[in-house]
Amino acid sequence: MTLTAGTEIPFIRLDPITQPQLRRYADASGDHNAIHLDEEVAKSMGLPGVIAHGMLSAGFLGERALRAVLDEAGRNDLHMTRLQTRFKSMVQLGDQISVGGVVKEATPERVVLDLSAKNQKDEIVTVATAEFSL
Amino acid sequence: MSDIKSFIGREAPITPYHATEEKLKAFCAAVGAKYRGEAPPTFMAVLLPGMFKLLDEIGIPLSAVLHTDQEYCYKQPILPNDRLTYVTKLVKALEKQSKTGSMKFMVFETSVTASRAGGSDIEVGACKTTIITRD
Repeated sequence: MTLTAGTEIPFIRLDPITQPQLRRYADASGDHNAIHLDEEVAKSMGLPGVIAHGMLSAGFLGERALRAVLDEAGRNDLHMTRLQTRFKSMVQLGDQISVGGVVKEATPERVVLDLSAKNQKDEIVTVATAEFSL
Repeated sequence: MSDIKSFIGREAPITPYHATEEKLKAFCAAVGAKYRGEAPPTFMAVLLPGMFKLLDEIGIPLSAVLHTDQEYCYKQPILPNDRLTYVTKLVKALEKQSKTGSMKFMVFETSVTASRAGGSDIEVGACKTTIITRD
């Protein structure tokens, strides 16, 4: 893949979200908010059930960005300088997330990617902008 | 609870975090990322407990919090065995009343420094976290 403005970053479909996965993320990140781990608490807060950490889908997007630039485009000379994520809608257990996007800007010194995470209904759950520089 | 705006400027105490290789690898595994010898892009999420401490002091239960935006700036990679110190500060706060109760909007900023054996302290990056809470 060559990084030019408009180049598509193919969507990669991930495995469905599971409770052990949220437990693993909670342990690795230190975010033990019960809305991610306990269905009763989640429901008492007016949620449909346990929801995934927003930062989990942000993590998927960060990895998609690195994979596109470092692995697929082979630009090991670039470093991520900024990652901005916005959580648009909730991710529930069983949801199957896909991550991909498009190259927004590309010069020899700087690359900007616009990425999104979508669920199995093609609804956008998280959007991200990742910037890379030399 | 007093006016949320009165908490603007409040900082959580400086907190240490030892970024061992084991923790970096566990974080990568949790987000399905390849371990590339340094912290993955969203690793600074491990520093959210700084915000949790402030929320606790303000009297907001974590279960009422919805994370809406997260931004990271990277100056230097976080490497295995880095000893991170970080300070989280409430920089913006608004409260709106509605028929169903009150809604708060808050922005926290965190600056992150790493110390390495035999070297001086390095500013590795910064985080900006936006949340809303419902009563």
